[in-house]
Amino acid sequence: MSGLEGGAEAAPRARLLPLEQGAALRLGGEWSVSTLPECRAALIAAFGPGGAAPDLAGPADTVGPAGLVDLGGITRLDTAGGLLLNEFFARFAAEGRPRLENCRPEFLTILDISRAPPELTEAAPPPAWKLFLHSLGAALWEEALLLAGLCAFFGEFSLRAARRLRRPASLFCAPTIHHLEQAGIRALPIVCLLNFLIGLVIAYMAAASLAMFGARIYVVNLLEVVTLREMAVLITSILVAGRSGSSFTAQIGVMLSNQEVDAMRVLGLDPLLELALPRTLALFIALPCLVVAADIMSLLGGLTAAWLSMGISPASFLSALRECIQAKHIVIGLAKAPVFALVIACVGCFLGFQVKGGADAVGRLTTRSVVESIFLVILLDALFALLFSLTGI
Amino acid sequence: MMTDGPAIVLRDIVNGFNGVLVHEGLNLEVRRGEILGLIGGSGTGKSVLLRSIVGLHRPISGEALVLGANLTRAAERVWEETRRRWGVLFQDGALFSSLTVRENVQAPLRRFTRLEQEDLDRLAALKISLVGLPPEAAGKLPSELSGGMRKRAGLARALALDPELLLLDEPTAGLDPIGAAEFDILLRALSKALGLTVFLVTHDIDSLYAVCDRVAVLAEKRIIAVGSVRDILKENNAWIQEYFRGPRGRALLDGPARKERE
Repeated sequence: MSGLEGGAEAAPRARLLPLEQGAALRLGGEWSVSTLPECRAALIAAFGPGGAAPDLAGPADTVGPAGLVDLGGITRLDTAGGLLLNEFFARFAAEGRPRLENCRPEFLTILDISRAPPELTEAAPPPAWKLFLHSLGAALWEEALLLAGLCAFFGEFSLRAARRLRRPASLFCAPTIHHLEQAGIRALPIVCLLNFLIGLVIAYMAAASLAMFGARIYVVNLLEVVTLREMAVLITSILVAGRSGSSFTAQIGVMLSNQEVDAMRVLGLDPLLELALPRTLALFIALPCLVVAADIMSLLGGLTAAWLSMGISPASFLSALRECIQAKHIVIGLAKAPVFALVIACVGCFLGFQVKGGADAVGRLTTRSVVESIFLVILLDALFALLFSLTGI
Repeated sequence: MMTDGPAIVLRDIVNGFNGVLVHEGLNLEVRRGEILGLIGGSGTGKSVLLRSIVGLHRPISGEALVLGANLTRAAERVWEETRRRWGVLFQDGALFSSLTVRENVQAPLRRFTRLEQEDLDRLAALKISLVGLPPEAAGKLPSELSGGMRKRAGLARALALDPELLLLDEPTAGLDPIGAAEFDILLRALSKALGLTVFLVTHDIDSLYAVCDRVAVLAEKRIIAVGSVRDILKENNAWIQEYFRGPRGRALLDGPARKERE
């Protein structure tokens, strides 16, 4: 046998040999997970044309209880091969297994442990339209819960923080300074660069339209109202939401998931005051300062664009600016900054405290924090615009 | 089954981080078909050693021969061949969090074979029942499982391809004593039935007694002793004596002796 089949050692083989009573099935080669399709094909082939059906075994009486299966040629048998053989045996031997010959003891163990397992029970997924409606409803409900939770958080936080505010000296502790540096000073370069570019772009875009009316110098008026009143504070807030709001969520979320927050509670420290207050305070101070820098940089960007594309010299740009600049635009822009800072810090901290579970939840809520705080900032900005236009400011 | 040399041979392994050496000239041999437990204090680099064996960490120098292949300078083809012949269970199961248990078990099968979905399902069902998980667990996500079930599911995934070598990183850590004992029994039964070679990093003295044929002790940056628990106990090393004869180890040492007396 070995001499004949030594060449194709790995390929699984199955041959049906007629005996006086029933038949013998002789198996050889590798019966493992990597040769499973070939094993099945070999079994089907062994039972002749009748085996062309997807059924593993052919006519039930071919091998019969009197038949035997010779495993002598099998070089390797694993649980996948064992499972296939067991299923195959079950088709023609009511008692479970035909007579086995030349079966190594370890093969017997494999056959024993790879008996047909119970069917896996998995709930079928509901139809697509139900899933869609469900996820839509769930998303809306979640958003509503978030806003409600945010309001509750803000209320609770304000009440507890108010008590702490009686001792203002205690507010400017190391964490506050640390977060001032992280959220303020370290954000300065990117805030400056981006606002410079925004000023540049606005001036460029305006230049083409204004040139048609020969009103190029009005680019200064346009810049003054657009950047000082709207763009500088909006761009800066969006940047800070992405930079600091998300990191607040991530930091607090990680502290929650490795039970740092629990450890604080056990010590009688209020996590809301210890974690959320320094961050909120830092952002409350840092954002208006960043907006001042943003105002200056966006005007500088506009100045550069005006100079390069329209030939308006810096001196005439500045003198035009001095004529048209209105304090109220600067004040309105700056007044929005602390409000946005509160929103960003509250969303960041609130979502941080919502973390349940591990790194997975932290990642999800961090993303959520950025989306929600940018959404709220733009929403509030629109409300402010409405309010100011109604009151005629 | 294919080759009969040792399952793992580590020669002169040197590992280090930031100039601090964790292993210095470490040698170890894991025989075919045995269950070898690696013990050592915290920070002695047990997990690093396991990571060096499976290629997640590259030693500074030295050789790791796994299932006859010298992985330290093997071609990608050899790596592929070897990866298919081992199964790894990480500490908390390391299940793919976005996949159900069934899909997790099928992941290695999908990666290395071209089986029909029906076969994949049958094999997954077999592996899931082998590790003693109920059939309902198949459709669950890892986050819906308890720690013990996650480890079992991780074991099912490690066994998906019927590997010759099983590498386990602290399989019983974080399980309650009952769960840990059950896991030990399961591991012992499976390794005997499937003819597995098992390399096991552990902290659990009970596990050493329950499942390991031999124990290797990692201390002083190398393997200071290898042998059965009985042999290891005879070693005249302070750390070993402290480990086995300390308050936690002694209870176990006394246990069998007391039973014998009775």
